[in-house]
Amino acid sequence: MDVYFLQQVVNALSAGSLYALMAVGLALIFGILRLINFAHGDVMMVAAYLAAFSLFAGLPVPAAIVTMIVGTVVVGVLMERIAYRPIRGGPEVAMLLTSFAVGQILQNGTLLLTRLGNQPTQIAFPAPDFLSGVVQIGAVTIPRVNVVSFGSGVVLLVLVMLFLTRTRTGLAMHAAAEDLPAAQLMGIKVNRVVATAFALSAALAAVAGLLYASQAGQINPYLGFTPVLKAFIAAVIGGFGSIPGAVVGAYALGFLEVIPTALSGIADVLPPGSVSPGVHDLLATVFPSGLGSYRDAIVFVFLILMLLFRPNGILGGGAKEDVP
Amino acid sequence: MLELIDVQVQYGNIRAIDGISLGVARGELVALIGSNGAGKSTTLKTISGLLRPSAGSIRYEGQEITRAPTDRIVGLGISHCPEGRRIFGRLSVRENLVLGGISRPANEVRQDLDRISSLLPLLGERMTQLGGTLSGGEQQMLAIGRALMSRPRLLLLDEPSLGLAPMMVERVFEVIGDLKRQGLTILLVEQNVHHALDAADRAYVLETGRITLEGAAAILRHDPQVEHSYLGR
Repeated sequence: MDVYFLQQVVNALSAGSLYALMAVGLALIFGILRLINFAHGDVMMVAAYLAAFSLFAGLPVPAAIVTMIVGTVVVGVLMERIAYRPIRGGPEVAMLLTSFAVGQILQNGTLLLTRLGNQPTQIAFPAPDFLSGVVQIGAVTIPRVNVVSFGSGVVLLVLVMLFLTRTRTGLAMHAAAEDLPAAQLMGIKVNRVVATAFALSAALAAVAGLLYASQAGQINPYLGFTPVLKAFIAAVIGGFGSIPGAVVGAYALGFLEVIPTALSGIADVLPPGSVSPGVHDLLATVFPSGLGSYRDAIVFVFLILMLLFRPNGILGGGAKEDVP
Repeated sequence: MLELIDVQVQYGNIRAIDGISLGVARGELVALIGSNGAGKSTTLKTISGLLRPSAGSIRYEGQEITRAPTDRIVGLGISHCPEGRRIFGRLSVRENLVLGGISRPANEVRQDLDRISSLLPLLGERMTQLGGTLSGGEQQMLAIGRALMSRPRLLLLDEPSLGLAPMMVERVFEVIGDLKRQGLTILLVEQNVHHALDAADRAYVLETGRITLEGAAAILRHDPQVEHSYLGR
């Protein structure tokens, strides 16, 4: 049973890292532009395809990863330059709709390219060796990709935090996020700061794309939808627009998703005789074996409760009244 | 040093500035006075490139800067200390100051941090405090210090005394006087006309987007129209 729970903890940390990589990208851009970039999931999808085709083309794994990251960053920066810059400062709903449009273009563009390359819509992802198979830690068997997801997630998030707090560009991003006109008056090149935010966000999405595709085993042009939605939920739970909030929210979501699965059918997992029959029946009723399939419903109920009672998120402080 | 020629600025269909021409000479302190909505802040924002004029031209040290981006204008030596202070409240005093010098090399910024904290000792004691936790007067000092970090030759100061306690207003104008004595050229927008005319060499009176009066501050102080409209005499 210990082993079982340990595995669930690793699953939660692994999923949390993946959500955090995505949620930080959303928060970086929202912080500066007040744009919820729903195309972010499609940027991640593009990364998965870039990785797949680089590996199909026979590139060695490190070269394929570099190609994937560089290619995704180019897509992210172009997306900002072409689609978002012309409407910067416009109504938030216009920016939101634009992000959906960009997402559609990326999805259908990828679909078109796979058709032109005579590929099926869904292709098997050629996960590199260091992301496939399992690792054995004591009695615990864990998919290697989960361990790598957690490890690389933590390392990248620490690097992003150091970048944001220790460099002048990071400081400029803080300033731009807090007060864009005032940041301009400091002589900060706002276009450059925004482009850097998109580049950083795309690079994180690229890593998330590789990890996600390796976990899923298959990729299609629509795979970005669920991750961006999860990242958005994570960011809302943590406190939207806050980078530490995005990280906290992502790991909270990771655990929140695992708990129903971990608890489902717990009565049957317990060694016989370890609890009284009454407790056993109670556990069996409250946590039936099918609880895991209600995972998303439970997450959304939690989200609704958060929005009702703590709309600014875990790190956002309590609900604020608007002072006239 | 700075010259505006027939500058117009529109907000949609509304003409906020309706053809103003003004000049600031090196070492001068020029005040721009007028009631709310006269276009004083708009004028400063247009000079620093936050707003684009719809007509007219702005020249700084012989260079055309009419539609230049703000970062280039800061690089040329114009620093704008905005109305309402606009401190980065979630960043420390030191980080606010570093941001003020972000257009300059990092080693110069370190020297300037010492220079600014000796000029404004209030800030030196509070380097690690968050900007948002400072009092209004302290925030104004920080806003001025931050604007000086880019080593400007022309400082645009927008309503530095707004909302401050009388004692703090005196302190702010002492600092402005110090800066002028050090040779800094200043264009000051101020609703405290009394103080502004005391500190300034020359002044312009702005009404609904036009300049209606200009001249030496000492003379404007005794102008019947100024006395009546702005000095309450």
